[in-house]
Amino acid sequence: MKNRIRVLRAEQNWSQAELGMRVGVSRQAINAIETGRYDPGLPLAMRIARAFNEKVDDIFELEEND
Amino acid sequence: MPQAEKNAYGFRSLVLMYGGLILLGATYAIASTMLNQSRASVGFRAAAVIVGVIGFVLWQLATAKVILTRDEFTRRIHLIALALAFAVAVLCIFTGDLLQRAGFVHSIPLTTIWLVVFAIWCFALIGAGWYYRR
Repeated sequence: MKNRIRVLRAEQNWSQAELGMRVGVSRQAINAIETGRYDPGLPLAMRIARAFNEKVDDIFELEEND
Repeated sequence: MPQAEKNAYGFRSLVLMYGGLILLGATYAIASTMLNQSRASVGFRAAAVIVGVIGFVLWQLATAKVILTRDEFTRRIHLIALALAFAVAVLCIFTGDLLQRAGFVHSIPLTTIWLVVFAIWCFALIGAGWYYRR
């Protein structure tokens, strides 16, 4: 699954740790999501979307093999 | 989460984690000492087993509590580590069984088996953490 978290985070000038704090997970969790090694569950995906004031669909996108 | 709450949460986790480990070590040492008595009665030996098992169960509960209070990403790492550890542990026990039946090794003590399983779990946790956090 692709996501735009790194771009959105850069726009807000937030560090991974800051985003993690806002959505209640560790910096490592945000890093793993950004690099595609970990796909978040629905509640976390929704919290991330809410933090950026976006829809989940606008942040996360399914890839061919998903 | 505010910093003060985060610190309190971190402190609670540390107390649970290290408290559980210390309790496990202490109860195991007590149980071992009791079982090493040469003329221990049946009741005394049964008490030693109960002390050891209670310590282990309390450590498991403390560990589970720590894991369950972490975020979903950390819980995923623990889940992967458990799956990995289970697979490797069963493989080791299976191989040990065949080696023993083939006559290449003598009987493997249960103490060795649980210590090896414990070590495998620790390594699996390190491996899973490394994979997701690198």
